[in-house]
Amino acid sequence: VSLRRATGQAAFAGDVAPPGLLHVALRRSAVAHARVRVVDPSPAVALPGVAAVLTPADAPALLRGQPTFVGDRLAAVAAEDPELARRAADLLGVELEPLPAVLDAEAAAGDDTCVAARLAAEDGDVEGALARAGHVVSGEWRLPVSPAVSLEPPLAVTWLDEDRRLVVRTSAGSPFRVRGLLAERLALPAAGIRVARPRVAGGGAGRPDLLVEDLCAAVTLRTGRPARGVLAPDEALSLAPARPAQRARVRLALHDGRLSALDVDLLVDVGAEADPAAAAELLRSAARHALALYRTGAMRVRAVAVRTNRPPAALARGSDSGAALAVECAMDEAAELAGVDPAVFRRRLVRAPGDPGHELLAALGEMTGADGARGLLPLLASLRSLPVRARRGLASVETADPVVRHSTGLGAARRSASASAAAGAAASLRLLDDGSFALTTGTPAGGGADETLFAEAAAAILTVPPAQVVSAGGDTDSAAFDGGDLSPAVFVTRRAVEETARAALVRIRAAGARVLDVDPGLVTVEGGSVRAADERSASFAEIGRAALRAGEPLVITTAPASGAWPPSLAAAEADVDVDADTGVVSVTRLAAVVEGGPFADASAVLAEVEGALAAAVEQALATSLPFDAEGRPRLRDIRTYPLLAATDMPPIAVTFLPSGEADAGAGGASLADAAGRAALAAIVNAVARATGGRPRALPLDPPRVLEALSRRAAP
Amino acid sequence: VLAGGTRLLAADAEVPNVLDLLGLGLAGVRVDDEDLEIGAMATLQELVQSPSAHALTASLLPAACRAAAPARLLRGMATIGGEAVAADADSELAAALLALNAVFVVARPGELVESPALRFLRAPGIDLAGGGVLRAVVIPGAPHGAALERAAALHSLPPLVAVAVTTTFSGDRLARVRLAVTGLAGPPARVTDAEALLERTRGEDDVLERAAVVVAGTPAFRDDTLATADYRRRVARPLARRALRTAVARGRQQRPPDSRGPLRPLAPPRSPAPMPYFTSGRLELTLNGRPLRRDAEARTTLAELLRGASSLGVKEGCGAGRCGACTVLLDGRPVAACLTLAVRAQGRSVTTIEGLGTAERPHPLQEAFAEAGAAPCGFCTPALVLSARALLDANPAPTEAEVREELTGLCRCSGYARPVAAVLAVAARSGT
Repeated sequence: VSLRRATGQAAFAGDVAPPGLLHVALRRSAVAHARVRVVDPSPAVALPGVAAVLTPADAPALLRGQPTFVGDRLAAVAAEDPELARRAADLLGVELEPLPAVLDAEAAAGDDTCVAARLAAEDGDVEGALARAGHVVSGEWRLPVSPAVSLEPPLAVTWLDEDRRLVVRTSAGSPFRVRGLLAERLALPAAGIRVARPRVAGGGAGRPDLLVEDLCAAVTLRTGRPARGVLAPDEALSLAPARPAQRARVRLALHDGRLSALDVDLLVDVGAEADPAAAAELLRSAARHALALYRTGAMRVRAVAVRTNRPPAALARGSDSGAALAVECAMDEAAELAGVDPAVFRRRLVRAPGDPGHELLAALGEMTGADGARGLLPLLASLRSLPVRARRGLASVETADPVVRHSTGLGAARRSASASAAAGAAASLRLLDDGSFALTTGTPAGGGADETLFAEAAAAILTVPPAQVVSAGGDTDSAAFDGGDLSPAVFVTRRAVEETARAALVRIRAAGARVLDVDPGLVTVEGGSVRAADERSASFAEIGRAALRAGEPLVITTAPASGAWPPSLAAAEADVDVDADTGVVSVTRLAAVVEGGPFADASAVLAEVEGALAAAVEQALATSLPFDAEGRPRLRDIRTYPLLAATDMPPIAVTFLPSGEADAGAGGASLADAAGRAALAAIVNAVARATGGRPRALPLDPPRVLEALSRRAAP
Repeated sequence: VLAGGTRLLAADAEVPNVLDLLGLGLAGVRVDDEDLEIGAMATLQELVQSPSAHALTASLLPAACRAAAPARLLRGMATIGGEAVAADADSELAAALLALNAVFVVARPGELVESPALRFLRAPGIDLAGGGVLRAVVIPGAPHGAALERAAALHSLPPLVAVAVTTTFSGDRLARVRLAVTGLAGPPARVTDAEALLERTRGEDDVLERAAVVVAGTPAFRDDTLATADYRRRVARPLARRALRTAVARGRQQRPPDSRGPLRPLAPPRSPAPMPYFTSGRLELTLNGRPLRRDAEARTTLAELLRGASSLGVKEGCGAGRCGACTVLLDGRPVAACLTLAVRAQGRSVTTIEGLGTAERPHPLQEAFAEAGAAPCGFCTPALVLSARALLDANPAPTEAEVREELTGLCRCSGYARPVAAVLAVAARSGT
């Protein structure tokens, strides 16, 4: 499979060009909130080569006529070539009536019409514990909007197949979700739509489901011709944010070396058009990730997700990380305050299942009986322990160059999926007449690790070499369904694959026994054949052929109940150099220890974890997407937008520590996500230790770090 | 007329027809007495690798080329002329050319005009108006010492502030100091007050500090989303101090600065056979060893042409040369196919990933990428593999740092560790 990728044969969404292709260009809103008075298509229609114009008047389900963010879609033009389409879109006569825009998330939190979701939960007496505490560490963190930057531009190609069914090829993460949304918007039966599953680049960078898909589909339905729409790099940067802006406040009460209370206050700006259910789930998972690591006498979370007139965030992986980051930073400060090594401090306080607050965590979706983080103990122990510094401000090591401060930071993360989230998955295996298997799963092929893992897992159970299991990408026609593109889907899908393989083995055993004419209880399966006690054997190929001849092909599909999956745990350590004159931070080493494995072939999973570490460096030091007071993205050229290059990466080391329990963190994406969160906290804590004055917002770019350094120098 | 094509093509310019300046023989670096004469079409990478450019600019110009174009792919394509004419606001290259007293030689109908950097870089359009073509950039007289200091959030990002300095000594006194700063409200500029303060001194620390204060206080720094003017002003002082100290120390010792040194030179470019003038027509080139004939227009990019010829491993990424996903080898050298006009490939040889090997008969690099798990999603992999091939052809035993620098293109999945390891593994295997 990966050889296909290394030879350039992997087929992405844009790698098809059906004959007669039309190109779709959008006209976008220049204001954050408005009502469309009129869109006059005539100047565009008059151009030769323009095949269709979609306006709010004739496609109200797709273009609502009330743009809710700068860049929202006003109209679309389909033409024979992309440049013509773009020119025609610019020629459309558009009149807007501006409406008041909501751009201040803090203010929006007080306005119920702007609130997409709210969460409030408390266990124990938090205020009382804070009042009685020996020390209270408090901190506030701001994380900016992060765009989803994949090298593959967001793109869709649509056409009608020979049966006049709509076929959609998209770079979005979840084919089934796209099909559901398209069916709704286009008022078509879902069965009338086939969403293909090409390879998706970027390893889960995340993007909204419908960016151009519905408009391309509408053009195809209207004209009968194939249509292609693609976002330009600047559009992709500003209009397809993966993770929302957020503000997290944390208070940590310390009493006699224990945590007597943890109080989390979170505000997330999910942008326009947020789905309330997704926003509510985001708040619950943010709370779980913040509260389930450390034992604390009392805990409380107050969180609100607000709708503003900014581009809607896709709520991709890592969207919920603000609160947990704030807790990790507060824990580091608390360790300094207590004069204890931060690794030792955390190890003393790691939660065990059933610790106070477990009912609250269960209500947030945490799996009962697995709400602890004890797996962190060996992870933290295996990281090099930090020099103990008794007093805050002395934590950084002076180097030979007085200007450069060297420092080390630690971070831990626990990532869990909601037990109540109905992320199901299915897998299907077919035994072919040559003894090989076709495996179909519905999980998006974004990361790459997963496909390989699925084939390997099935092959191990079926007693055949991995090459004999062909992992065929399932589209919405061939796969039963997919579990979306969130990390747990990978875990659940793997479980489905294993269950399917075991069911297949039972059927093969029975079919083999029939071929050999013996009792199924008396045969064994090994090395791709079924053996009788008398040494006679039937190969899988013979069994496959016999089954086909008998009209009973061996096709097995299972969709296990989603059930529960274990959390992923990681700890990380970062070394940084901080230039005290300029505020420039260099990460000089990054190490992560992740609970997981052992893997038959760890390279693919390792690559994913390493990728997450790279993303953490980028997010910690550079990622931002500022907006101006009118809600316009203050765009940066794709040429200079911060994207980590090979020369920016520090040396990294990743270690897997197998947990005693079976299956822990089986999905590469979930492990990678935990490692990335831990690494982000480690870098931030290292910089905080080097600067003394704790920076309170990401990214830790030179101006912000220099400011933190001055705060330390001031008192 | 197409120069600065790496910028023009990234900016959706209309290109009705093309006159390829490669035919004018403006490439190359020449030493004329004490002067360094750089053809306007010399690429930034040529300067990084040119011993003369190191020797005659106290290594400032190569350092500035490396900083201003950290991505190897663009550095191999962008020319000094194009970058000088269409420079980014904060280009270290412009600052370096100011500090080096560069002179821009412009050919106008019937005359050759020399324009000093101070004048030319402020508004290149004025000197080029009326049919002017930038022929060469001349660095008159080598400075004794030089330094470049910058502050940026990541190595690969443009600087928030950068300071370029050259020093020339007469005995133990500074005869001439040239200091230029970026991060200003306008284009990079020299700070002549600071220069005057330093000349005829011995470059003692307190004088350098006073000059640094002048650097921070004099020009109007820019306020933008990346940094405030206040930050830039504050950081200009230590950067100027460091640059001055280094340039003075180097100049005093007349010692070439520490540099990673020139890379082993690449094979010289095969003499291209450019079409002097092109509107549309049939191009003939060699694609993966086989002749290819295809119709193209002036605006057709090599990426469009190749994808049209079923080389789908040439990915469509950012269209601006940043992501590198469209990398192909043109006569063995990596280029961004999205910023290369198809006409440039006329009569030349193009290698895409499809020409390197197939899943059945893979190239050792492809095998190594697959084995190492270095192709998580596969979108950037063709570019990484092709650039690795070009690197190993030129340099069979690269260091890890060289591999990191020469792998063209971004990878959003892997964190680069595995791709780099795969290339080193192939190098080690073929070395034994």
